[in-house]
Amino acid sequence: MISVEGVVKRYRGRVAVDGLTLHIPAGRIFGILGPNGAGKTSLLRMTMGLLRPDEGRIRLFGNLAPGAPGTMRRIGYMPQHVALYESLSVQENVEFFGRLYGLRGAHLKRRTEEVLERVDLWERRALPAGQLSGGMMRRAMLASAVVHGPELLILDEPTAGVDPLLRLKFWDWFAWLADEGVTLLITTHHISEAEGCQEVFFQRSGRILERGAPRALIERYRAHDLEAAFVAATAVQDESPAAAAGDNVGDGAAKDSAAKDSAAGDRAGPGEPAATAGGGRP
Amino acid sequence: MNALWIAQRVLREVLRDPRTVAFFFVVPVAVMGLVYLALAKDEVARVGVVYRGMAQALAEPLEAALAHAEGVRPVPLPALEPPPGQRGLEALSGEPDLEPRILAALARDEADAVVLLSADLVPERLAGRPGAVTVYVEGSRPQLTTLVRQAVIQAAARMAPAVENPAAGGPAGPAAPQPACPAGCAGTPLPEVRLTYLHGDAAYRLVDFFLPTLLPFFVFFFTFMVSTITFQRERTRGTLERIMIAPVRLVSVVLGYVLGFSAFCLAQVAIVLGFILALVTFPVTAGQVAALVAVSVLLMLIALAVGLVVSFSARSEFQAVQFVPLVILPQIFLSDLIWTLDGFPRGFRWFAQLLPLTHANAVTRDLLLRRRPLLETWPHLLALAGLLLAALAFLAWEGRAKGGAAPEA
Repeated sequence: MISVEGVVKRYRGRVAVDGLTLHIPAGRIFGILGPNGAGKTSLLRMTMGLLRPDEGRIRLFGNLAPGAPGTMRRIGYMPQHVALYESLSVQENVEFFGRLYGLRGAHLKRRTEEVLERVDLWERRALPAGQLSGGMMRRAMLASAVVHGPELLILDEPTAGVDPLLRLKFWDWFAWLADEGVTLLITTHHISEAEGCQEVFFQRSGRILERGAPRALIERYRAHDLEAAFVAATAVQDESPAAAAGDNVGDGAAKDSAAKDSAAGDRAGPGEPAATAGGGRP
Repeated sequence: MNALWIAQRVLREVLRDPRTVAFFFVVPVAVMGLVYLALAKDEVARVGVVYRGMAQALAEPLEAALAHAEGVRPVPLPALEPPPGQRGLEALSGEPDLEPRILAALARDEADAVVLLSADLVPERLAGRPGAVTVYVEGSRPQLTTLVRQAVIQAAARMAPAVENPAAGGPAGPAAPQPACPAGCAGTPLPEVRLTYLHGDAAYRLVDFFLPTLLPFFVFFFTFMVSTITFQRERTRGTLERIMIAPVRLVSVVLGYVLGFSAFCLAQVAIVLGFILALVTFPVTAGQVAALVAVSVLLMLIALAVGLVVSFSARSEFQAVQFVPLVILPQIFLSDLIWTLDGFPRGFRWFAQLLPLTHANAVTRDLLLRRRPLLETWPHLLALAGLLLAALAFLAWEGRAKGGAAPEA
């Protein structure tokens, strides 16, 4: 479904994504986990065609380029920050995005009602988006990201700033979407919540450190939860970058450039890269 | 004490934003400079003197008197020199095409006004009648019309002795006109001064001159401001990004914005234009209204494009707001909205050619005040189209520079 090969993205000399390779098949829920500044958002934005990789190649649905009209229709995207028209009502927002994807008339009405019912916002459909609470805004965002029935749903930190109860609910909705046949790609830095993923990728300093089913990763690092497994994986990489990359990440490209990667990762530093930080407005 | 800490924080924050600092100190200086340039030099009307027959005897003293009058400056009009048969005593009959030629010279902007001393002026006065002097004025600038009228009356009073005895002829004393003579000192009353207007008439007021340019001003100002803020909001909110990733062609996005803004702009044009039409004294035809609407739409497109350029250059809504006076102020001062650019250094006059309002104001005044057909104003229309293309080219270039996709949010 998504194939990312040796992708590099730099912002004014800082490396945000550093020779990243990643293959995601059609399936259920995939998680990209990593700290702030790991390059998760940059990776997603390149997948959406919003950014162009400096090096490497991204293909979707077989052999389609990101940003091609055929690809765009099949993807839903929920950005990290609230992107709604504040003066439009919830329903008008969802309908507007539905129309952009070619939904019309009764079909649009039905889908709008369906997705708003699903996120428990149908009762509040007439409220202006600007008057919603933070949690409701996130739900409206999810509704408008899936109104056109995408095959692939990309969610950038969908649960950031969401209370724990609603976070659980979000994961219920993700499971429902997966049941409907949607492949979900979710980034998060709440690592433990990603245990509901079919497979997760640990991303750090613009590279994938580790991949696998959450349960398998927990066992591999003899950790009690996914977060501990992540910390352990990070520690292993810090000690021996070549071993970590070579043994666990099943791609050739990573192997031969592992040493260089580690150095580049240090350069990128723990801080968020410039452009990613720029997106971080409230 | 806490107040001091807060004050320190405010100072730090402002000082670390060089734009705000520049804004604080540069804008007042720039505005004062522009006001100075606009007002330092008084407006001067260019007046030509045309004579026929024996009135030659009065032409030179009149020119000398005009040279000393305030607010006017004599200009030569070689094209309107009398032909050989129209000098001195030979000229007994008038030239039928003289008036159209004078008006044509005004239309060509060779002078702002022409004083005609006709061949029968001297015989009239010798017969004891006051005679008449016709002043042809361009008329579209009421300020200049007023200056010309005052100067001609003043000059006529100064040259009263010469008028009293035109047969004596000869130029007045060089650079030293006769002292003003009370009206009673002349045996024959001073000639009557008649005004003929190329554009407008005596009822035409200063407000008639200013009102029409408010249309382009409002269209540009509001469309620019609203589009700047709207696009800036769309960018920072991330909704623009969501439109960019939808399967919507860029053409549709652009067209959508243009249509949306057009609706508002046209409603505004209807209101502003209705207000103007209700207040001006001169009649306006449906064709002129249609032409004005067309120019307003073109100007709106430019304002929209400039708004886009600015919103892409601004990082925050605050910066976008700072850009507004930066774009608007020069156009208020340099677009002939209030002041002519005659008193400004040449560089400013060149710069003014890059401002959309300069051309929009010129077209509007040509249309309404000079009653020219829209197509006759083509140099200005061409300039407006060029400015629109330049803004679009800049946007396309910037879009490409930022990776062909939405700008980094």
